[in-house]
Amino acid sequence: MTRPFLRLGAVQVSFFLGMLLVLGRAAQVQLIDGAAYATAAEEQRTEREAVRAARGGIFDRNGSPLALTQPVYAVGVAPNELRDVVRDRAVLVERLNIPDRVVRQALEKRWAYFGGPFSSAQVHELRGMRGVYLTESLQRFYPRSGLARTLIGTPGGDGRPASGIERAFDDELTGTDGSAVVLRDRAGIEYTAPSGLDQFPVPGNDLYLTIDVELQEIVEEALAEAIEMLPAAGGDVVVMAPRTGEVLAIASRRRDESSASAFVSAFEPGSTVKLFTAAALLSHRLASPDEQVWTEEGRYEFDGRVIEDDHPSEWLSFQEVIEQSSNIGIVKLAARLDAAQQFAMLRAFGFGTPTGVEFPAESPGILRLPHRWSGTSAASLAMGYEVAVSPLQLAQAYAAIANDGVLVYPTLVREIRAADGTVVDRHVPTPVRRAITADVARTLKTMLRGVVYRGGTGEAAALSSYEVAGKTGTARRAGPGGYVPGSYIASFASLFPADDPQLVMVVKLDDPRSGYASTSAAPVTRAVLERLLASRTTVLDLAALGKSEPVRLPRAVPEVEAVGPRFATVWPAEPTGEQDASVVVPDVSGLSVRRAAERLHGAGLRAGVGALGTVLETAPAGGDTVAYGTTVALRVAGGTR
Amino acid sequence: MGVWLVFGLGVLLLVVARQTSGFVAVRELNDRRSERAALESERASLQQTIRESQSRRVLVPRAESLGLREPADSEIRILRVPGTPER
Repeated sequence: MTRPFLRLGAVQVSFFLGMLLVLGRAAQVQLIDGAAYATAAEEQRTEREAVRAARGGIFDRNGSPLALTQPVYAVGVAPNELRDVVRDRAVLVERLNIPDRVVRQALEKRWAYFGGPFSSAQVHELRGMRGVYLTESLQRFYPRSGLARTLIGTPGGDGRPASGIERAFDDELTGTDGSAVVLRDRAGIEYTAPSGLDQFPVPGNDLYLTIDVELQEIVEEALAEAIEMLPAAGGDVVVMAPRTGEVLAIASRRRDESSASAFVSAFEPGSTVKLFTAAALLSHRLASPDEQVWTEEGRYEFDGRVIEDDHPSEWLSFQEVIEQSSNIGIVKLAARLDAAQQFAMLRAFGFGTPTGVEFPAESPGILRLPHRWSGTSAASLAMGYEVAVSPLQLAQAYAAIANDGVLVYPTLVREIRAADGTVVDRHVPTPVRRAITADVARTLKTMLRGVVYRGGTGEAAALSSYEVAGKTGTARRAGPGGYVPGSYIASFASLFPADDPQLVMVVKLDDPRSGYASTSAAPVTRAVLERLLASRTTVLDLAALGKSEPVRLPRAVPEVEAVGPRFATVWPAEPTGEQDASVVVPDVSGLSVRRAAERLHGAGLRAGVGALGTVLETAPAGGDTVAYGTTVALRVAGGTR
Repeated sequence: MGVWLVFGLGVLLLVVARQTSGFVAVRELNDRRSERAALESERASLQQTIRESQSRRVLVPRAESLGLREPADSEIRILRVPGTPER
């Protein structure tokens, strides 16, 4: 009996020792080496990977998407891993919309790859299939195919934005990538654990443009029809809200598919610039609208140069000179201006400088300094030659007239919002300067109304319900070897409605067969306005149509009498007083002209600059009390032009 | 000893069950995520179809084929909101 007890005792001791060993080892594994094993296990079943942040979207002013980023997939298949090749092949054919023959051929290889890209909806059913592997990537797509593409821009070869808003606002649109821990099960299938996101990706900000897709569509359609039917080599249309500077629609089209746009294609505008010559004459009180001018019955020899009118006349009033677009009349009247006055007015309306719109590579146009003018430059400029403007610059300048004389910065972006909807930045209309007085602006608007409704050159733009004001421009078209015979650029700049403009539109057509703006660009303007009135667009304040209240800007811009600085200077961005308020001239002697001008502008004064260098003294002198808006002449030591 | 064995097995089962339920939950979450992505993608596609159908490029030719046309400006009357001043 003792032997079995002994044996049992021995087994129990052995088992106890074995258990002790196991427990000891377990303690070693858990307590001593536990951390190292845990790390190794974690590494085996988890993986850290970058989580790409989605690029922000681009929307129109009403939230209609113009560019979005969405996940897309490529599909890889290991045929030997499929559970049921026939059934799975049928699913692939149906979901990926690929011909059966192509899928069958692909599945005969060891690895089949379908690049797609396929949407989430397409690959949803494939996710649980064994042997099917999905590769996710983010892709930019444009829901309104082709609409406003020049404006929005395109990706370059490296996938980065190459042009347009996509490029200009790349920093805002690009988000910050995050990182995540991915779990892997025994089969090797990966899962993103919700707790594994150790750095959340921050999506890029969304841009809300000033563009209205409805109006954009109308404008692009009208431009395409005009180019096709006239026919013309190309064209541009810009529509702006004059009070805010918001660009509501902008379209460019060329038959040769070149990438020219309303931001960069500067052209000699011709007669649309006559209005700014008129502005200078009225501002300096050198002509009145009813003053008569002898227009030489259509042919005028001047300084060895012959100037002709398309509609020969005898006597025309200043107003009729604009209405009939008389070259002879405007050249004769412009002779009363000196070069500085003429230059200053064109510069005050923004010609020769970029508008500052948020678009890469904007053209500043061409406006030469007066000392580089030839003997006939003043006459040429009066008619809109020897100056080059972009359609956007022209729209901005006409918007200043609509806006009672205040030039406003144009803008393409209304709002920037974070992914959660928080507004990061909102556009505030910003005046650049007052170019002319409100009285002069009103007189010019009357002239523009006459162009359309008093038998002028813009009759084809007339609407019967609401008045349109505008000015035609037909300029000879420059080619590589000078002006091309019989080839013109036709443009029409308009204000709608005439009494309290809500829109400013510039239509420019390259080489239309009919030549004249009156029969090409003006009818396009009418077509756009008619379609706009019949549309559901919200860019027109229909309730306000017919009201004639003055334009109101968020910040008051003082009324000033026009003065004639030698070169154009910037009007204070933030005026500090009213028109009739007095200010003390700051002492700017010893400062550079640039710094002196800044100080004077800050005090609500204008700077009369004749040369660059160090300021010796001013007139009126520092410390004198003068009226707000007075021009302070700067005398400069060692000045250079 | 049997008790210890049962206890050991129980703990083991608990660990396995917990891990399995974790993976099941993650798998389900992933399924819901992909379902949501699929639905969002479908919604985007449908919205695009609606926008395309509402565009002038599609609507105008269709309206013209039905004998309709766009009104001239003289045929448009904008009704004044009561209380706004007359012109």
